[in-house]
Amino acid sequence: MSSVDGPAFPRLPAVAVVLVTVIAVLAVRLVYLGTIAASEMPADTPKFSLHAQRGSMWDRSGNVLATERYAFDVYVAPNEVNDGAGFAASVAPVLGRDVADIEAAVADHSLRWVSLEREVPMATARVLRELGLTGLHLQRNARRAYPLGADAAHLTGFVDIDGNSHYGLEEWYEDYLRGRPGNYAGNFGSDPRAFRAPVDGSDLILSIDRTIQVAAAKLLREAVERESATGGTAIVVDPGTGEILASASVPSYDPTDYAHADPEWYRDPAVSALYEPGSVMKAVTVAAALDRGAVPPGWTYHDEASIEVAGLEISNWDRAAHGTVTLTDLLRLSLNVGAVHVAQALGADRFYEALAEFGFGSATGVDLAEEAVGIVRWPDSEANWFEGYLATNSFGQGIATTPMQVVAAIAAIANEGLLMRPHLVSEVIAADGSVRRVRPQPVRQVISAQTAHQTIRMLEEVVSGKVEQANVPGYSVAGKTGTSEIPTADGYEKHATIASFVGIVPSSRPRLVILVKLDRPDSARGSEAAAPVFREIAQVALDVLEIPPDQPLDSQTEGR
Amino acid sequence: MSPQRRTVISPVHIVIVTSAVMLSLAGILWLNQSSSLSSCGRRIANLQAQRSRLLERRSEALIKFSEATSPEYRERRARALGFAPARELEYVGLPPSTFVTTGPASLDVTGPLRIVHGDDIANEHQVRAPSRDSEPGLTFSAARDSHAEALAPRTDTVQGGSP
Repeated sequence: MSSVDGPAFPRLPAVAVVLVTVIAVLAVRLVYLGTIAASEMPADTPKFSLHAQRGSMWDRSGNVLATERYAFDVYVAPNEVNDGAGFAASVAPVLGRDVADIEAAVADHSLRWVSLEREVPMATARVLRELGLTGLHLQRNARRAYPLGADAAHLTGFVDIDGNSHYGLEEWYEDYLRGRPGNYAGNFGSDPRAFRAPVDGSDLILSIDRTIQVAAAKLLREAVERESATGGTAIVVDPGTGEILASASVPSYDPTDYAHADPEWYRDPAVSALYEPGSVMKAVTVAAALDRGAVPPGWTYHDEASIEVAGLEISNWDRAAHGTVTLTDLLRLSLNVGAVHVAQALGADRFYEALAEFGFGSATGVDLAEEAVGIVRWPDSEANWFEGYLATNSFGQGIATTPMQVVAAIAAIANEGLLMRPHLVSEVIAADGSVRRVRPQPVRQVISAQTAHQTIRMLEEVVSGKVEQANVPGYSVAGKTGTSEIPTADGYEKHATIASFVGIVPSSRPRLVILVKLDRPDSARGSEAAAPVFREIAQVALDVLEIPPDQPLDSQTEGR
Repeated sequence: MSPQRRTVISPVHIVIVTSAVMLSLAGILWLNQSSSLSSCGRRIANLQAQRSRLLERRSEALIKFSEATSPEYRERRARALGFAPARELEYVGLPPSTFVTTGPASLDVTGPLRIVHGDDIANEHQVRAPSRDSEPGLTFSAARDSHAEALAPRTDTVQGGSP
């Protein structure tokens, strides 16, 4: 047996080196793919954004108030179309265009992209897709749908064509609603390592009730037209929780067609329009004085039709002297002179301390954009402050508030003296299904429960004795009218007022506080212009919320 | 006897064979990973497209549902059916703890209640629950409209109030 020693193939070492090198490269590449490249893509890798759906808004019963809708831009790539006539014959009727127009659009086969139609609705897009035509392309655009339209425009706000949110809940909850877009890299997602799933925006569950909201908006709109008013606001809140059940203002706009509305209408007057609340403030003045012991419940004064304070003559609205007047009569007859007496008994320090505690001069914290804080001339910060401000502020003039501040303050009286933060969102539901509940937020105890009850009893007398237009059959009602002058640069407008009414129903066990305000109505007084609207809104809200009547049958019949 | 040829397996051979095997394995791994990546990417793209379509359909359905349940639409439909909005609320007072049932006399009053007007009450089974002296009279509200009443069933749905 012989043997042949030595290398059989002299070039084998070189082949081995090549093979080992290739293997090494492959191994390194595999490690790279599994580690470094998995976490970051090269900068030049093409990336495509994946749309994150914006969160929707729902009312307390699950009715949608804002959601995403889609509109489509329709394009044709003429270079991909072989049969222009057939293409045009199929597409033209769907788009409602002339066949000749479409045929002309696809005639030039050197073109790669021709726009046929913009912003076509989903139904049209679906029909176009089903045609399955080569060269027909649809580009989807996310838009917002607001089923209640102008009825809730101030609450929702709007999202513009570039996806930026403005006003209302859209702006306030932008971070929650927006979500986070995803992305992928490479053609058709061929490289999934760079894939990032989009995270849809959170949904908002509102305290709003759609039926009450629509009714409030409609009744307010009708009242504004009936009274030839320049505008108005209606707010319905649950005093126990601070939940806003409805908030409507006129004039309003269609949030899907915001571009054609007057930009002045975008702001929500409920939280950003300042006005002098007028006699509604007397309820706060009396409650503060009672609570701080400045006047006892049985307090009286002698009314002489007018009073002079620091050189300022203040008269009753009716210019009449009413003799001996109780606190209840003061509110029932809405006497300015009486309010001044009460405020003077309370003193400036305690009066303004009470105003601050009721929330005047500061934001209520409601979850709406553009909330104003109002104007209060505080004695310790106003250089030109004089005693006349105390007098006029006591009956709601010379002080600027928002409707939301007024309704929150009266709601505090209805809620046994506990001021609640008004709010619209009760739940935030994230895309992963996790739920964040918004609990009612007490702000502070502004008056005692006993004082609150006393004040409500007095306000009941106001309605039963003087403002029958606010009577809701079957229910006890407490409330106060407000008729205020409108300030200008050099005084007050002549022959124009802001008429308002704020009421508590049922007043025996408050469930609703409703504010109605009309700007420059024909019927100048709150009892004539605003109180009937309060009654109509209250009837709808009581019915929808299934709040049982609290009055005996006899008085209900009498109430009608 | 011819000399027997002895094959010598040198280290170089071993390296070559091993390298060839490893190269094959690595190639398989490479192909496997690449194809997985590609198919995974494709699947993601398909799922994304599917998600987009579903979002569109959901949005369309939501808007349609919202329109179909809107107060205006319901009012329009109700008017078309001959109904009219209840402009006046009436409250019917019943004696304390008195329930009127639609079925056989029974103390089980958990079923739907109905309020019976006028003489019809004589034809109904009336059940008197154990009296609670301090209980005030029950009041139920029933939205009624003369036109609607003519067309609606003769019984009113009980709204609000609890025994």
